[in-house]
Amino acid sequence: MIRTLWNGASGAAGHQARLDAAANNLANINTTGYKKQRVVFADLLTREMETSGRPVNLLPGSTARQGGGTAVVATCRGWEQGNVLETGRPLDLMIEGEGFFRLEKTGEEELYTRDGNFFLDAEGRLVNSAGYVLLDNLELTGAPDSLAISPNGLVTARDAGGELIELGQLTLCRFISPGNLEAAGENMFRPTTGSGAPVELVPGGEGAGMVRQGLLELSNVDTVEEMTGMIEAQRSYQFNLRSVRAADEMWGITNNLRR
Amino acid sequence: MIRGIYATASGMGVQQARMDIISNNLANLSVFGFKRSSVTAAPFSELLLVAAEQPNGTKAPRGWNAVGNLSYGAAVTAVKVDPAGGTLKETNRQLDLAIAGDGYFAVNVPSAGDPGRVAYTRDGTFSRDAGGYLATSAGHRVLNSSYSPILLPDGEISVSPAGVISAGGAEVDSLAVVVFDDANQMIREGNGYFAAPGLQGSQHDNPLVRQGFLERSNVDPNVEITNMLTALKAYEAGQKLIQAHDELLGKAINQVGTLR
Repeated sequence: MIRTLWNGASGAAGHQARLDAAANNLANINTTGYKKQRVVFADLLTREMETSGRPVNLLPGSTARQGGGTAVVATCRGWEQGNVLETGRPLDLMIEGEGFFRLEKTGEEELYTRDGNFFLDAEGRLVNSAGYVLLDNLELTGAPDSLAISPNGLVTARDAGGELIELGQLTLCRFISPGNLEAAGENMFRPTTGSGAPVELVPGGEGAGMVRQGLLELSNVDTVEEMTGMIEAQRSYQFNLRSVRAADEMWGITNNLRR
Repeated sequence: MIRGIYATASGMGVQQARMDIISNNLANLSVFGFKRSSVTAAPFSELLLVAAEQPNGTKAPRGWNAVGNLSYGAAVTAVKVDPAGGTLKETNRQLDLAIAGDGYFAVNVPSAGDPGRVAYTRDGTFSRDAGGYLATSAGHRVLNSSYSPILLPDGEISVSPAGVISAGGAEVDSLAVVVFDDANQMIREGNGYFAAPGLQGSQHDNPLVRQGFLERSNVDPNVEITNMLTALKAYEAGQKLIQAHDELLGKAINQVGTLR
């Protein structure tokens, strides 16, 4: 009965995690550059039923292994391209294809993002809403409206005299296994041993995507998929609570054996 | 009467075992590639009940006379994995694979003392690992038809129904999809893996591998909830039987042989 109880509890907890992920995806439906999360489950370690106090008398050649419920083994991201939002802002960038923007902040680790919603700070640098800097060496002088970033990442602007000046080269980073990146909050990710080290590439080269100016990448959350997933998770949650209730009822029956 | 109490208790133990398995099936309702288990139970080995006297009151010629068979209760004889396929769910992820036909993906799951140990799974939630190899969600490498890891090249990967992996139109490798004659003899290991000790497997020539799909568990909640009800009611019936035996014993102790 304890096993039944815990199996039910682990199933309920697992489906709770699925509901949480679906709620998080739906909450971020309008977050630019957000990638949907999904929860991966697996069944838990099994053991021989003989060791659990049940009457077992095995037929030759058979086994009696019982599982220990379910567990979340990973939450991974779907890296499909999100929809396009046209903003016309020169500081909005979108990656069409694979790759991440590399962000830096003094005294902090380097982080990576797909969210290309940048602003200018007081020193003329491109920063995101969390204050992380894109392209540490780039300093924009002159009018921000004249900033132009080519699909291959070449950054140019016009100076006060209207002269075209080259400001730098934007690079993108790719990971061999982006599914193993760790979320660092604010739509940013940090590499792990599982994701591999970042590979810095010129946009458009060696599998890296192109940079599109004046566009933003919307989240890739699919509402219908999330809603159906949510219904499924909620019903499965209820089924598992039935296991908990059945365990409780069996316990009651045992307790009333001696009247 | 004491015998009856123990026989009933063992029957209640079998119902508990059924409930353990049912609750585990329900817990894994949403686990891709999960296969449900079921309990088979049988009476304990039977005893021959004998009588020292014949029906007419004379002594039996050999000293005993067979009355009939008697069992001391029930026991679990096996927990079997149901290899039936689950329905497929479209995910559109490039490295989500499902086998629409029979067979299992082969995975290298090292154990202490056996780094090359092979386990089998129906859960095709794969991804690239940090070395660029095709790996399961638990991080174990998926094997090709000659049982070595599959190194994926960069870029778009496509997998044909026959399990052939190609990138940019060029054939790269082919997946191992192993079929077993006695798939329900496979042993569950957790994490979606099965071991097949002593089973003879062979490569499936047309396994119908579907890319961008995952196989749902083959657990039917209606069946499980119904089984749960029957197990619960059988357990309750066991309680009533034990109480009846208890009453009989009470009568034997307190009423038989008393003079009023």
